[in-house]
Amino acid sequence: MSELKCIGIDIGSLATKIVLMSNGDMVDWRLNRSTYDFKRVGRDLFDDILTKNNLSRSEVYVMSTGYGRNTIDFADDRITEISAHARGVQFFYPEARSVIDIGGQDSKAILISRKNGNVIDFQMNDKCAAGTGRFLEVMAHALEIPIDEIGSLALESNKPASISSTCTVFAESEVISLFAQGSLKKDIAAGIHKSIAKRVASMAKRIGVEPLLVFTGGVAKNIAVKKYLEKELDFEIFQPEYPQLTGAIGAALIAKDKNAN
Amino acid sequence: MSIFTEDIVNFRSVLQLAYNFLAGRDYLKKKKFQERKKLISVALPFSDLVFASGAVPVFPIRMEQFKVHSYLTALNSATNLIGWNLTTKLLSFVRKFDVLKILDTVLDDVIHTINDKYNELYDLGIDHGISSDFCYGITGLTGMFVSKGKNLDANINFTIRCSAWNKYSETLKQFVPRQIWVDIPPRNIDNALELLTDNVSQAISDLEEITGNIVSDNSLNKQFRIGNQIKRFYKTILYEFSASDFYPCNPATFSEILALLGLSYQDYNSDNQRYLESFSYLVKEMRERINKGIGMDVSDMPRILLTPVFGGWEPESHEILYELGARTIYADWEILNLLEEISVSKNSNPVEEYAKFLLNATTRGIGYDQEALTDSYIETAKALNVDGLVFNQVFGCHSISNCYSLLRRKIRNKLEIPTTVINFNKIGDNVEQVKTRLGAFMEMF
Amino acid sequence: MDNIELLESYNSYLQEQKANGKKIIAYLTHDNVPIELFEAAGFVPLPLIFAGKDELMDASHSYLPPSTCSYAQSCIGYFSSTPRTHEFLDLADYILLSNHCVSNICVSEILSNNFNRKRLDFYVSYTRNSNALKYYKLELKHLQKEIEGITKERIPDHRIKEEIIRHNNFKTIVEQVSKLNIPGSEKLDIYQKAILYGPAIQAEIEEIISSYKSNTKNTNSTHPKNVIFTGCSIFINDYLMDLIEDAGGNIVLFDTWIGRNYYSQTFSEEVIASLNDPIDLLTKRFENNVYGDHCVPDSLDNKIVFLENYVNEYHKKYGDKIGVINHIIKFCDHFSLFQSYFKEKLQERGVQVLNLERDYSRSIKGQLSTRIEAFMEMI
Ligand code: SF4
Ligand code: SF4
Repeated sequence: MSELKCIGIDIGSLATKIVLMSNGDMVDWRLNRSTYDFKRVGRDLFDDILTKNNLSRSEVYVMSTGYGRNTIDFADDRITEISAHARGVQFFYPEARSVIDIGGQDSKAILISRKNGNVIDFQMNDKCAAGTGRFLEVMAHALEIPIDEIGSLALESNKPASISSTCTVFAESEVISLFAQGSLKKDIAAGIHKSIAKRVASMAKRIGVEPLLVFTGGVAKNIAVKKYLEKELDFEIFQPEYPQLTGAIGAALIAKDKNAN
Repeated sequence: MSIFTEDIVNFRSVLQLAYNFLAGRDYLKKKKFQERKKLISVALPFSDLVFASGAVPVFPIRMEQFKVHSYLTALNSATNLIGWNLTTKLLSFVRKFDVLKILDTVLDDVIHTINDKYNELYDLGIDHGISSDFCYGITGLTGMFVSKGKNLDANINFTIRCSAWNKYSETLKQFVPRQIWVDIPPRNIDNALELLTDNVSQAISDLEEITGNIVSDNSLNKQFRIGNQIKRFYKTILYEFSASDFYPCNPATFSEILALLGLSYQDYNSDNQRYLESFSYLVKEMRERINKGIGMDVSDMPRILLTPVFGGWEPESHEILYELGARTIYADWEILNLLEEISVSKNSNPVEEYAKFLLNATTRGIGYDQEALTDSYIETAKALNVDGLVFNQVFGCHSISNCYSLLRRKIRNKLEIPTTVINFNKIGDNVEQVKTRLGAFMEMF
Repeated sequence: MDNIELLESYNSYLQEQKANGKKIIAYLTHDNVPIELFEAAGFVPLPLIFAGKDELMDASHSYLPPSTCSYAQSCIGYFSSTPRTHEFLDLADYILLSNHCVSNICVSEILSNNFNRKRLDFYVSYTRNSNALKYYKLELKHLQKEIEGITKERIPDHRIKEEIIRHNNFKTIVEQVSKLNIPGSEKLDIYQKAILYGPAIQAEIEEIISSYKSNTKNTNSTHPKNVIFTGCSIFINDYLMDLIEDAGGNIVLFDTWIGRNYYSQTFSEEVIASLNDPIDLLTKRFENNVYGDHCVPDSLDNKIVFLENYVNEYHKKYGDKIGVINHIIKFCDHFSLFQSYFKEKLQERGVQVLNLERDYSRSIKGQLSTRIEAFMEMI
């Protein structure tokens, strides 16, 4: 009997990710921007990955996850991004005990059981955007810096400005007034990263995150957030090779576990 | 005396108050370890019973290590607490500073030092798990207990109408196992006073058990007498000096003095006698300066009541108002009727008198409903004869902050003075917005 | 989906009562309110147990800052939003101001001042010590006098006692619902209705119980994810229950005011017989209310111990280790403040807890379902 292929599809608010796994290895993946039509983007990526790998629908087991997981009607099952991330990070780091995931709209901290690798506790941000990718986006816009550059700019600073507002709207006006008062862009950028790290770290501390901690989600690519998170938590944190794919990988692995049982 | 020494001589009292606030940690260590006194935390100005029991009341931020301005340290080592003698050593030290601005600089530094610490402890409260949806005051206080609560022997709680406050108090036993409760009946009906008197007696017995001391009527009366004198001085500053056309110092500094008094009034800097002395000197010094014409003519500056501030406030606001040409008054304890004197006489029952004080504050000051609370704002604003009122709406405060829509209506109908609201979340959080609001507000004058 | 039918029939019920000359007293629903006194005086209690919505919350913002609990905001919204969603509230003649929490005071005061409802006051001490019990009695007597002032008639003691017994019996019946093997959502519907109408629908509830008893389907054992629900109540027409059941959850115990705190506050016949003065009986009930979230200093710890025991008993009986969903209405003074303390204490005792904080906005629904589903996956 040929081994079962599993597909994990993670429909985030900003990006849709899909991975194909076979025997616990990642065979192929895709990533695209989510649109208001979650289902269509998911379907397109799904069809594409099947075609490129010469597979038919009946040969794969599909597990959807993420914000739009319920819209994927072709999925065999679904799982929340919390469980998916917890499982996904163990693909990269089998010793992982905690996860911090910062996505576009959400941030979460997850604690993984030593015993069986399952989620034992988690915490999510509330509705407010502080401590999410959206916060960084708004601030980058206020500073007129491309979002991909704000992290490396922040690292140039050795005197981060103090951004005390936790609310995105207030923080934006704080940033603008710092700018008007002549503070350097790099210092403001550093201050912004520090503030987001502080907020996320305090959420993470609430559930008692511990090493080995894996940092996932779109924002994990930002080195400055990583650096400040490490400062706040006082231990080293790790980023997987494909931080954005963690959820999809986790979903596929859970699909595999499920079918093995 | 030259102007030079004049300035140092004046306001030593307030600087001493500031020093005693900031140097609390060492003082409390001495009390706890050398004198074997019990440390009991208090918040809001409810320290009388603790003093009467011979224990040391502590507003918990005072257990922290503060950075103390070098001038304050020098002043403290140079002055004799009782005699207030200046030494030449201090004088030579002082030459290093811009003497005329010493008070402004040092007090500004003190207020910022305290507030930086407050912010730090607020963050600690959040880290400990207090939801950021709660008021700054409760979150900061929780941080104080997380940080140094283990040094306390007990904590005394008074139930007030703020349910967040009462529930917060309930959680304090995780830091300080020994909790004393004074349950204040929500309103004064029938024999509520008698019931409260009994609750106060119960709290006194708890204190006796913790300290091993007997709390006699005399010890209570002695404490009330000291408290009453302090209250009289406090009122002199609020009603006489703050209303004067000539201020003994720059109005922003005057506001800072009021802010410092508001903070330190909660535990009298852990030493009632010393606090009384500083207060009495402060009043004397202010009066002398006014009489001698040392200070500033403020007759054309509108007087603004900024309230409430005890749940946390933006300390830049009095600076902003000053720059906009106004002077700021902080008078929360008066609004909440916590500056009322406690009657002391041979035949009175001090426990009952204290209960009367609590019940009066609850029903008339803090108010069992918004009607009563807003009435008390109006009465105080009237009595202080202020020209405007700025309401400090503390984010997450569901008790006091919720009264603003009613208060605004009453101000319009009964006082006809300008009013505005500023939002407060955390110190430094939205100074820009405060600036804009206060700017627009000042244009109303 | 909104249960329009329930609201419509409740509307007719209130109209009918009103046509019979009865006066209606609205109150924010929490424990310690002596509704028996109202009924003994011929008044109809109208509990405000309706869930909020964006429009309702928005409509409150000219009276209260948005950082007020979403339930309190919505209560103002019921009266101030246009178009009105709960028009039958216009039938209320009085509003009971109580101090369950400070939002309760503020909302009642705003409703009374701005929406022309006469106000009745009923304050409760924050502790349950012996003086607090005496004070509770004073308040009861005050309230009784106030009501008698309105009706110009004394409420005879025996009438109050009859009402206490009637409610007592009714709650005993409602309690049986908690033991039925039916989905949580069905239990919740019954509890909500029971609190809305009170003993007036006793026969109906008895009938429901007997029809369920004859039905042998056992949902407790077939449902994979049984949980306890604690914290703030689920009000009428809240979507939360659907989210929980859609995520594969089943609530086996509602440890909330709409639930256990309501039906468990009963007296034994001996207690009823031993206390002649009905005011003493009502006071006794306040004294026994050890889990009520209004009181300090140990209602929280009592709750933690109760939940731990319940979880253990349940484990012994059914073999399932059930988790706890702690429902926190955003900005609720009582449940939001100590949520991490609560969770930590229960987790130390091996009970898994989901602190589910929310307001009544539509936009939070997606996030809520993620949290609930993740919790179900975890347990
Ligand atoms: S009254 Fe407001 S500021 Fe004070 S403790 Fe209560 S919620 Fe906080
Ligand atoms: S704050 Fe909590 S207890 Fe008070 S009305 Fe709101 S939900 Fe009820």
